[in-house]
Amino acid sequence: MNATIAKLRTVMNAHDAEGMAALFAPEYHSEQPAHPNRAFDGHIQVEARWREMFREVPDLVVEVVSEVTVGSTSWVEWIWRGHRTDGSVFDMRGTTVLGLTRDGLIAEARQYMEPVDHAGAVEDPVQQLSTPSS
Amino acid sequence: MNATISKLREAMNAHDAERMAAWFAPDYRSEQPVHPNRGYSGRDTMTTIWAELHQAVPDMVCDVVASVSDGATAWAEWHWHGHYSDGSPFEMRGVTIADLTDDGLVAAQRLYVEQVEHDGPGIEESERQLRQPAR
Repeated sequence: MNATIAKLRTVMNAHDAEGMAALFAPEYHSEQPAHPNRAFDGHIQVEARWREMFREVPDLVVEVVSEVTVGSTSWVEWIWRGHRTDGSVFDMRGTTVLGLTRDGLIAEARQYMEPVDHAGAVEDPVQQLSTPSS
Repeated sequence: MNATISKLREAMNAHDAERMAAWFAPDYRSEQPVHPNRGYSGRDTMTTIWAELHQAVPDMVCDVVASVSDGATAWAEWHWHGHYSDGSPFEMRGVTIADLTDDGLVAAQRLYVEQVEHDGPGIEESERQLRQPAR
């Protein structure tokens, strides 16, 4: 596994928001292409967000399902799982496509992480996409 | 780009579900880990889904934003876009992770492709909603 991704997993599982921020470039740019309004900049933001996350999901565990790094791009498939303070399940799956600097800092990310839809109906897979959502 | 992903993109953009099917193993397994109930098996189901999708979104275009191969695994980041026949926009973004056979057929795939939410909340509010207990 790429060294940055391995460290990232370790600090996330240690609930160390400051340690996470140290793995991101100061001018880090985050995008969620499926949610264009969620873009943000700056590794300070990473620290603030994950501090909140660790407080509100105190038993959060992150797993890397698979990973590949070629050149300066790391592709990571994640499971982020735990319970919120009221005991409800927190369960996210997805992928992140990370651009790394030469020093191995994360300079940009395109994140495709979503909460798992456990309650989703057993849908007809054909109907699910081919119908306007209105 | 991985040859299978490149051929798939071609067939997808030609709106030719049968040609897509030629790149899948007969016992193909599809999973959407974010939507556990959407898993299915069989190339024929895949063909039906895409034939319907091409009919529903007649101007659909499938772009590969980035891709990488690692042994028998091909990762692709996609942008699928067009319009439903009623004129409303269709737009999906995400990543697929395909396990390939020795012949380059897709034997199994984990899809993380979601509809784009153009009018959703910003980062603060969206993360607050994710972290905090549902009320």
